[in-house]
Parts: sequence; structure tokens; C-alpha cells
Amino acid sequence: MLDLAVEYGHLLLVGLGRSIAIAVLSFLLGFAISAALSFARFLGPGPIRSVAEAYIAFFRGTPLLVQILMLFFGLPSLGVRLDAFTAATLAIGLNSGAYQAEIVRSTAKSVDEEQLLVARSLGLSEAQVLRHVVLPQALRNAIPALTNEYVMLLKESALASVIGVMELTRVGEYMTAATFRAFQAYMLVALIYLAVSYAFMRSSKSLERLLAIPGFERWSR
Amino acid sequence: MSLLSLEGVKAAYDGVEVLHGITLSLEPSERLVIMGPSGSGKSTLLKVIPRLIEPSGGRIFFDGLEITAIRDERLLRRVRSRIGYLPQHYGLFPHMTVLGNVAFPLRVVRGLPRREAEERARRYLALFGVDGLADRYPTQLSGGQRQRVALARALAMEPELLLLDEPTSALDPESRLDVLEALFEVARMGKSMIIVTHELDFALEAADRLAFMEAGRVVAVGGPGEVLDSNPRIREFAERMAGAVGSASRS
Ligand SMILES: Nc1ncnc2c1ncn2[C@@H]1O[C@H](COP(=O)(O)OP(=O)(O)OP(=O)(O)O)[C@@H](O)[C@H]1O
Ligand SMILES: [Mg+2]
Repeated sequence: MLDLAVEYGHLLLVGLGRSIAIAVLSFLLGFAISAALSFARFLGPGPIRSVAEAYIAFFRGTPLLVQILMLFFGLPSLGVRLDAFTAATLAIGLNSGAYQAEIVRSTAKSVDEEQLLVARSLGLSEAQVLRHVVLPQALRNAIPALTNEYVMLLKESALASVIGVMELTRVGEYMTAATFRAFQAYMLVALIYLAVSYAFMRSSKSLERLLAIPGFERWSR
Repeated sequence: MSLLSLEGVKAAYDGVEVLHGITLSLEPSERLVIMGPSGSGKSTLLKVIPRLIEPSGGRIFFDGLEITAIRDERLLRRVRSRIGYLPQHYGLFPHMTVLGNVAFPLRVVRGLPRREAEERARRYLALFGVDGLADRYPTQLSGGQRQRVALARALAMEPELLLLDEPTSALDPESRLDVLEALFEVARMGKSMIIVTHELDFALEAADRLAFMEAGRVVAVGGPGEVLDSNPRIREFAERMAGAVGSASRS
């Protein structure tokens, strides 16, 4: 396996870089979408709320692979042609937006009712309550779940190989075709995913500590 | 003219009516104590006044303005910001420091510049002896300290009316006395307030009137001594409640 790593080192690095790029970009896109969905959900008038709910239901209720194929093969028939990398990143990001919105919703519920009452009684608008009271707490509480989501995205980026993006998994396929050592090739690829996920989860623990609210562990529930 | 008046105010949760037509009024600088058994609707009554819960009937007037008729969100918010409200468990924002908790609404709602907001916040914290805790977070405070910070936050907005929901009932005996002291301080300031409490000393010494609620209705209202003297049943209830909260701390 080590000889594979050496021989294909350059390709593996390029593939890994592309996998990480897909994960990072789709995470950021998903984050922006989840913010929009959250505002629509919490503040929007009825019809806008319904649109947000429908969006979330669609992206959570259909296979990500189908969503990727739709964007890559389906959009050209509407006159929009995306390269494989863009189509995959876009699909994964749109999908992640729905999941991240669900994460924010569940952590927003942890903000207790009395704070909301007080905030309104002080004269804050619903948007200000959301921005200054709910979201700062909800996002802090969401860090572990969002970390998890990022690791999921890194793994889901492997689906981009299906439409030909030369990312890490696709490099595995390439090595297999060239050497016929499928098990070792994919094991090598798997270990690389593992190393990156692990490093990321470790660093998010420090982020969590950095953003922790002093004394919050002792907050009486 | 009354500062606040309620005319036949009703409230319901999921269609179940829990306030059955409350009629009350409060003059400027008047202090009204509300007592009553658990579930009689005291907290609901306080929440309905700034429309934190929408009343299901009746009318509420504040300073000549019919709160219940306001349709404009901004106007409603402006009226709310003139009425201080303190829930039973402080409602402090855990992600802000003590100073932040008090200064934040001054900046966001009153539009004060940061320096000015913080200056005013410190002044009100000092009033209740908690200015030394300005940089701590709410989770690092005792119950009594939290309640005094919450009181400072409400007062720093300089509201014309203060609504307090059992400010001492969740506290240990020592904190309770600290907060009671703070409440007497607020009374000395001449603030108009409606306070739900079973503190008999406060009712007798600092309140102008006492209203007793039962099952969603005000069943007696008048001077605190008067209400207690003419209703042995209410007196007995009040003394039992006062005994329950006060026994550990009489000194
Ligand atoms: N969020 C709610 N949903 C449904 N019913 C509620 C809710 N809050 C209060 N109630 C009901 O409304 C009635 C009045 O409650 P409220 O909290 O106003 O009473 P209270 O006099 O403040 O009681 P306590 O002394 O226990 O605080 C009670 O019957 C209570 O069960
Ligand atoms: Mg209550």
C-alpha cells in the first residue's frame, strides 16, 4: 500500500484537495442557505414559510445522488450547463442547507421561553430577538452537529466521482484500474478520509471550547 | 388619568380561558401587589398587559393609549419598551455578560451609543449592589444576584411601569432578603408597579393596594390592610404563604 501511496502521491493529493474543496464550498453554501431558511421559517409570512419547509422536505427526502445527477444531466436540457465539479458542489451545498437548517432549528429550541418573553418585553423586534438572542446561542450549541455535518459532506463528496470529478474516490478508481489492487487502493483512500475527518473533529473541539459561554456547563436546566 | 387600566381582560391557552374578565386600574406611582393561589392566573395577567400573550377579550389602556387596539408592530414595541417585565426566573441572556445584559437593550432598543449605554448600565447595577459583577456571565451568579441584575436591566430602560412576577420566590433565604431590599429600593424610587408576590411585609409596607386573584378573577382589591382585615380567608392564605417563604429568614 505504501508503494501505491508513493507512486500516486501527487494524484492523491490533488484528489484530496478537490474533495476538501467540495466539502468546504458546499458547507459554506449550505450555511448561507440554512441562514436564509431559518429566517424564512422563524420570521416569514405563511407562504414563505411553506416554501422553506418544502425546500427542506425535498432535499432531505430524496437521494443526494439523484440531486447531483439532476443538476449535472438535467440542467443542460434547461439550457444551463455546469461542469462536473460545480454541479456536484452545488447539489451537495443545496442538500446540506436543508440539513443545517434542521440543526439550527433543533438548537434554537433550547433557548428558554423566558428569555424570549423578556426580549420582546424590552421592545426588541422578532428579527432582533432572532439575531441577538436566539441565533448566538443556537449556533454555539450547533457546533458539534455542524462539525458532524462537515465530516458528512467530506464523505458525501465521494459521490462526485460518479459524474467524473477527479476527487479522492475517483483517484482510487483510477489506481484500481491501473494496478488491479482494488482493496489496497480503496483502503488507502479510506485512510486518507479518516485522517482528515479526525483532524477536523479534533480542531472543532478547540473551537467549541473557544466559543463556550463561561460557566455554561453549570447552567441549571 | 390612570397610568394603566384593564377592562374585562380575558386570556386563553389553546381555547381554554384562564382569565375571565379582569378589570383593574393603576394610578401613576402606585404600587399594586397581586396575590392568589397557584394557577389563579397571576403570571398570565402580567404577560397579557404588554401583549406578550394576546388577550382573548377586553381592553387595555396604558397612558391614554389603547394597547389592545395597536396594529402597528413598531408602535407596540415602543409601548412594550416603556413597560418593564421581570419573569420569575430572571430571563437573563446567558451569552452576554452582566454588563452586556443591561446595556444591550439600551443600545438596540433605545439607540444609545455604547459608552453611554454602559455608563447607564453600571449606574443601575450599582443601585442594586451588583456593579462589581459587571464582567461575569449570568451562570456565574447566585440566584439573588441574577434577580438583581434582571431588575437593573428592567429599570435601566427607565420604564413608566414595572411588572414583577414573584421576584423572590425562587430564591434561597439569604438571596431573598437581598432582593427584597432591592424591591423596597425600587418602591422608594416611586416607580409604578404591579408585583405578584407573597411577601406580606412588602405588601403591607410598600404597596398601595392589594388585589387577590382566584381562578382567573380578581376577588378582592383595596388597601392591603383593608383587604386582609375584611377577608379572614385571604388573610389566612397570605399568612400561610408568608410563613412558608419567610420562616427560614426572620432574624
Ligand atoms: N403555556 C401555557 N399553556 C397552557 N396553559 C397554561 C400555560 N401557562 C399557564 N397555563 C394555565 O393557565 C392558568 C393560569 O396560570 P398562571 O401561570 O397565570 O397562574 P399563576 O397564578 O401565575 O400560578 P403560579 O402561582 O403557580 O405561578 C393555569 O391553570 C395554568 O395551568
Ligand atoms: Mg405564576
